[in-house]
Amino acid sequence: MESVKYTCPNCCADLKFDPQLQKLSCEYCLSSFSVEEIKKLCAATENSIPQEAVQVKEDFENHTHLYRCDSCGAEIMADDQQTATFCYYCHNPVILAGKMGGEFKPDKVIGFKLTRENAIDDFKKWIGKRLFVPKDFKSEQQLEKLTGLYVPFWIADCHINVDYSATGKKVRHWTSGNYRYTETSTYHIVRRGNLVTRGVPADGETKIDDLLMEAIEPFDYNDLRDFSMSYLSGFFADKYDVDKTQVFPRIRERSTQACASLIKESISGYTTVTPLAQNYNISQTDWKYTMLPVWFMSYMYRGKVYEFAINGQTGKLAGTPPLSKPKLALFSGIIGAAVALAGMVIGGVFTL
Amino acid sequence: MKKAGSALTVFITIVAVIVGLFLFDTFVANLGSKNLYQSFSEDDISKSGIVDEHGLFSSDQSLLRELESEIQECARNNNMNILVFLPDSSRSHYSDSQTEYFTTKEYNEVFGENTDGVLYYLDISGKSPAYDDIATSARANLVFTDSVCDSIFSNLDAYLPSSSSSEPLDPKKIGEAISKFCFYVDYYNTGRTRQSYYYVSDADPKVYVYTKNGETYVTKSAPPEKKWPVLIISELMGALVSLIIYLVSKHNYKFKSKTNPRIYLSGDAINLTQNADIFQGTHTTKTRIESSSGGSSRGGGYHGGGGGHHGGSVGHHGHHR
Repeated sequence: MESVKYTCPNCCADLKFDPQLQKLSCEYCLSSFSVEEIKKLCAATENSIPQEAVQVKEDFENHTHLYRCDSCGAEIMADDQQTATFCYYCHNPVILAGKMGGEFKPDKVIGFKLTRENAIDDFKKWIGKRLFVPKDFKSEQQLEKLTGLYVPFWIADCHINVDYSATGKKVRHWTSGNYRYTETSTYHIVRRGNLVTRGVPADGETKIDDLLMEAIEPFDYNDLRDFSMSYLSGFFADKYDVDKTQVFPRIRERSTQACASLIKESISGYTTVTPLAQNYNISQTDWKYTMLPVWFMSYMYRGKVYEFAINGQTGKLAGTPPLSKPKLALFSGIIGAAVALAGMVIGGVFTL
Repeated sequence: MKKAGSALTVFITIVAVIVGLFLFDTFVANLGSKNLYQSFSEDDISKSGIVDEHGLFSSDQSLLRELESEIQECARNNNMNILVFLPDSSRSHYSDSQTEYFTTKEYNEVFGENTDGVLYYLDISGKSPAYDDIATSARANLVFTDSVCDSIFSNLDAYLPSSSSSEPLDPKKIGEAISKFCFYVDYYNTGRTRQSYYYVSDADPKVYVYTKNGETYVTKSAPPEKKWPVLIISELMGALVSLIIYLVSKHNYKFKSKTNPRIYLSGDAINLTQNADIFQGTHTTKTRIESSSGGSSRGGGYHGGGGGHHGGSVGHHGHHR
């Protein structure tokens, strides 16, 4: 399968997307070019996405494919998800254009804003507060595993018809003479109308934990740009393997939650509220297939994989830190022993 | 298989910790400071007897010798120093605590600190009300407990004049009381239940008196039976704190953050065509309030006492006549 690369118009070295400059930069002659400039300069490359992906060589597994690096000619192996990677030999960025044809061509992209150094700093800050992680989890070797990945996301705008009704009760108590009075006022609460949830994202990749991706939201959609392969240069990228139909239940659930939350907020001053009808029907959904920037890291500890993700645009971090139980047990044991010792000293056990 | 191995490791660790704590507790419980106890010496028998400061027996020396002989016999039989002190009127102004301070000082001067023995201060000084005191030293503290001394005092009251009595003192009656006292020393010291330890809180330094493996100890450190509960309670507290820290920290290492989808609700696209709270009606119920009576409260008082510090391991059991 063919791969593409973006070369510097000045020195012909490979260009990489620089999150700080939001441009494609050449590491050799230090030139930099905006995405728009590159689109014009490398029009042939930009338009090289075929209408349908063509698989030229199938390797030992059905889901592993071989590509040719345009820089050194080496053959690169990639799974059928990857759309951007690096050559193992010359370490130049390789964009697997053939995988982004037809339905797999993203509509929009948000370029990385967080550099690798920024991501490492954020990670160090986050992990610095956790005392009981395994020692090697904080090591430089582990930090090297931090990978910039464009994750395929489905972003949906949902038009929702709301039909909510409930019985609300306001209860008032007072005492007069020898009697205690209870007054109950009953109201029929009605909320009907149309709401729109905009930009509800759902990642389109099975191998990435959905909750992890939800945790690093939100992305600032003001930075959404028309997709260009040049954004992928210097990062990894995957194509989706979960289509719109499959992610729709997640989108519907989150949109419904958002509406229910709004309706709940609009009802106040009642002692009790008993819902009679709660219908949130999505009448229309507009989709965008988008590549969103995420810094990824995984860590294997005692047979379990711990995944971390940093929003490549905002720096929001999420993940489950691995817990070194012996370390924690030792710490709590020392504190417990100190408390016990203090108790013994106060109790006069060591009076000699 | 791996889980079973891990559970076994945890089990072995817990057992090891419990065994380790038990060994530690046993060591610490038996860790005692220097034993200050001075065992009874036959050579001191001659010091046991009566100090007749009042001169009650001055006219009947044979009775005095007879009583002293009885006291020394009792002392020998019980391996315990015994002194009966008959104060004169110069001590009639003594407060109870001064009496106790005096008896301690007197006992320690005559027999030495931390020796086994009792000093019976039979108050015939003329003080009203008379204050009798049994000063107990070392092992005697374990035998002559408050209840034992109360029993002795109440039995001896029959032989002693009340402080309101204007009758002259009868040496024979006092002699009978002293004989009876020796009887009770014998009675309570032979095969009676003893308390396991005694804390002499007004001594300087404060000491514990207890027996371990048949030996008497007078130490600044607490006896094992007092240390064990402290050790176990302290360890349970430590274990509880450890467990809380462990569980709270473990909870903090769980995946928590989840973005509220409410942020995706577009403010400009909320169009509620019907947003109404329609009043349907109201109803009122009334309930009769049952009357109830209040409770009463009780207050407590503070009771304190005073007295000087002394050396040795002398405890006191006083009685007003």
